[in-house]
Amino acid sequence: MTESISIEDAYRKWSRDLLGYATALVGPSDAADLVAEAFSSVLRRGTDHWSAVDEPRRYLFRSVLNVARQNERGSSRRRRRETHWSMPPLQQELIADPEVVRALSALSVQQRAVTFLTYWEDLSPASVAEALHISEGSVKRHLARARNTLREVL
Amino acid sequence: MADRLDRRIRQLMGELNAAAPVPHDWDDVRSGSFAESDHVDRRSRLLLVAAAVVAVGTLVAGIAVTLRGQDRIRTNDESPFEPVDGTTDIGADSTTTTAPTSTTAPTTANGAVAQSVIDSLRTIATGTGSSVLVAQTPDGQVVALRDGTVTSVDGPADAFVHSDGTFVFWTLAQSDSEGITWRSTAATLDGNRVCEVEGRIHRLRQRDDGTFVASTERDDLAGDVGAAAEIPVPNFAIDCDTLDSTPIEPISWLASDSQSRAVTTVNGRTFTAYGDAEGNARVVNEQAMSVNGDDYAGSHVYSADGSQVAYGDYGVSSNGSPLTTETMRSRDTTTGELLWSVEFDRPFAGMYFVGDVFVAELPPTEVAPEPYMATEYLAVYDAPTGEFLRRVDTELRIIYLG
Repeated sequence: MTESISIEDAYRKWSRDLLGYATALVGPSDAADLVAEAFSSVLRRGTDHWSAVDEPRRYLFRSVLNVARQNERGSSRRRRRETHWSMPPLQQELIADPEVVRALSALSVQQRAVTFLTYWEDLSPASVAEALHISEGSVKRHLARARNTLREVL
Repeated sequence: MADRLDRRIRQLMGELNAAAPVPHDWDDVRSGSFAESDHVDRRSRLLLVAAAVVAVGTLVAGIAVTLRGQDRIRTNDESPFEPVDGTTDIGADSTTTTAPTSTTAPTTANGAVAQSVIDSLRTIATGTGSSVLVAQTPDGQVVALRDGTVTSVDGPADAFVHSDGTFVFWTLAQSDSEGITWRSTAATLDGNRVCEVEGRIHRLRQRDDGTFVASTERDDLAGDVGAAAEIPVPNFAIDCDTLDSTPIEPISWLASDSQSRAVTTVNGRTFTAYGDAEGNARVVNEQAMSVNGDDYAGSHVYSADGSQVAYGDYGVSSNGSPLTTETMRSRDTTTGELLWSVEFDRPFAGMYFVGDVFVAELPPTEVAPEPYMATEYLAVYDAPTGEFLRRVDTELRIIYLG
């Protein structure tokens, strides 16, 4: 345990950061729900679990990604028009730049996560790997694929 | 060039960050009421995860595919049920339509099935050798073909549908201040709803007297893992008429850090899957020998006799799994011998054993790596050898082949 903070304080302190991240993962319409669900999950696990968490901020970033990925798994099995991250009208209004919409739609959720943490949170591949509990090689692969895709789209 | 791209990506992330909405009020998060009002539908969709994979969150990815892809799968909770015969006929033939003789869009018990869909179902059945086929059209209609008869099954638009070849199931999540609950519905292939219970139905049986009993997991009753090594997900046999509930042996367990364990029995063979937070699993047989070698894979399906497994990653693993994302492998479940592997040019969307053939479901390349969104064709192989047999073009998303 390197940092002691209550769940509520963590929400107040980091929810804005997590919302930006969640927006990159699923778009603005579902971002607030995504973050709230991640915290709900933490609450359901109990304070003992939370107090044992090292690096709670990174843990929360990972939790948000897990919820997003779970959503993706669920989504992927629904109807095509509901599964594709197709930016419904509300989201298009919230993200004015169509290039942003096009770029994000071209990336997988994992690629969005790695890209956001790298370019916005300024984390190194090793730190992203640590935050997401994946290998550094996987981070580099995701990032390389994301950059290749974005190079074509942007 | 790279610097310019990096700057643009950074700018892109900044625009996204600026578009982030305001957070929910903490009190709403704490009480769970953030899902109420206008957010309830979206959150319900978010919470469909466990139902979608027929497991809790990342609870062993193999289960979902197993349940939707296996013919006469048996689980170790069968004791409260009558013996499996796999041939229960509870359909109403008078409400269905025979595919080969239809010349116009016929009306079934629950609506019309387009002739093009009927033709596509027939093509798939012929190309794969399947006698029972459940699929979903690009418009979301669930259709079934059984022994040449086509039916339509009405279900909610926003639910994951799976099938065991006799019934079609879907589960919806409900969230309130008390937490999350699941409600499952089961219907026959001709659309008659025969069971609706709390929890996630993973098996349904019809008794000799015509009544139904559902084997149902209740994630909401599992509690917190806490310091325990693992906790069982409560499993019940529920009478669909009286809703009388009898605890039965669990088939899955939760562990800390989103890890899990689940037991699947196929034709008397027992396979235990140890899943991680990424949705991948290591699966071992009765002798604790891995049936997926050193490959760490997200989804497993078994042949009807349990002697052969096929597995791969569905392309959604955040650990990358580059060796399996587009690669499907098959092994002998007793010796662990690698029987064959197939490398695709895109992530695949599904895999099924149908008798002596093995079927892979491939999406259009433009939707990969979101492979579930659509189907472009089925690749049919000889199951024992992996020899390619034929390609079957279809836009239908496969729910069950048997």
